[in-house]
Amino acid sequence: MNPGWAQGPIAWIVHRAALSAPDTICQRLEEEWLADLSALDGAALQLRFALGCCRAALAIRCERFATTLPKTARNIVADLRSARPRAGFRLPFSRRRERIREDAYTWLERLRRGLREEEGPKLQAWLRPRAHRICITRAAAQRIGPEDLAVLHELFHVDPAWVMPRQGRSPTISVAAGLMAACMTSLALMYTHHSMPGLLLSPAIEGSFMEAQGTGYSSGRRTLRSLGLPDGTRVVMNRGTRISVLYAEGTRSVMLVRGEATFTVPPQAHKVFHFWVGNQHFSTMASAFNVRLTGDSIQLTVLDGTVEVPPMSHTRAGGNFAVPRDGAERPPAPRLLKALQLLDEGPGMQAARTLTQSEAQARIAWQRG
Amino acid sequence: MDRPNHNVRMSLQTLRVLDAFVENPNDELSGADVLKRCGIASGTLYPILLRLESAGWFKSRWEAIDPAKAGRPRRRLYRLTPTGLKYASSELASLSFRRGLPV
Repeated sequence: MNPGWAQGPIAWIVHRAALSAPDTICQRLEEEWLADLSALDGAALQLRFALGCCRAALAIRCERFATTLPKTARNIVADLRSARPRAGFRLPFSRRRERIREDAYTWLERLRRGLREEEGPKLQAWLRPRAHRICITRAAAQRIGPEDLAVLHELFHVDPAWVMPRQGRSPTISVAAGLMAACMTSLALMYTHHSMPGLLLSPAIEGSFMEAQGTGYSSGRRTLRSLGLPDGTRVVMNRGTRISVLYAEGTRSVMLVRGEATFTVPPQAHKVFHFWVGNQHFSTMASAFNVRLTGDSIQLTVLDGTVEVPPMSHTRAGGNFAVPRDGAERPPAPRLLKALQLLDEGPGMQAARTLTQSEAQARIAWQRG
Repeated sequence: MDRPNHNVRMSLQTLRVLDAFVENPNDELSGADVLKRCGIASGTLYPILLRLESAGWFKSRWEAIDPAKAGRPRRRLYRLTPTGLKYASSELASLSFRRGLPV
């Protein structure tokens, strides 16, 4: 055997397959298969080939074993094989298919001996379903009875495709593979969503989800409201404000549905504080900020710490960071808003500027009544 | 070699393999060539080739090349024996396999 032509795990599979073959032809098969393997292009094709070699080796071994047995012993083996109980678990459609196949063989036998008068209409009735016609054609082809096929062709139109080897995967395997892929994808998505909230779902989806699922808090039309959240976050809500709060394991999220509020977010290990304003999403680890939602406009003032502004792709549809309504170009807003910075955002525009301490305090003057 | 045996178990795959050889009876084909022509799995092909070889329908030999010069391993080449050609042609003709089943 000349090593080195084909190497790696696929060649190893072929090597192991050849070892399963009868000793007398084991070496020949290994060399032959490795040579044929190297003539194939593509890893998938080679892997399929190698796995097929495993099956081939077993089949060859079984055939050799059967031919070395004396004739009487061969009969015993054949009898045992035919008497062996089939696997107990069968899907309903599998049982039905088997019954159709048995009927097909019975009808082929009857066709060979010649149909009796009363059997003709019965056969015609049996052949009515297409599945029956396909099954009996395949059974006839497997038995290699050209006369059977000729007779069948007189009874109904036989499509040659029925007896040709099926190209590609069987539908059952395709469906099973599809289901498995769907399950694995769902698991991966669930894991990602739980470990990195906000990464998979767009802010808009999360926002509406939050609004529907979160706990709502509202302030009166003429009164301010102050409340504390489970992680120690302090919220002061201006008049006519509504927020929705959703705290779950591993995530803390708040949504400003309308109005204006000031948040003081304490740090919490490995927990990002997500907040949505309308459909816009922001996040911070720890900060103090005031946010106001007026119609479609958002004004976010960072008083302390930093707030992460979403990348461009997370803005609302049609959003353009740098072009405001008046058409004058402004520098795009930073990804990270620092203390004393104001983010002004409206439909089709987003801009940031730095405030003085007094300007920042003026923005939360409403808290003093 | 054993005496050619007409009683070879026939299947659709066996006929496809025979068909690949009967098309050009003088050609010598390796397993990979037959795989490409017939599109059947290797797990089915090699038992068929060995079965037909032991039945005397095929004979095989190693390709006469120097692997070091050719840059590839030598292949096992199969070809139909005259008896094999006769039997194969008769099987294929009776089934009209090459024109698509059935006639």
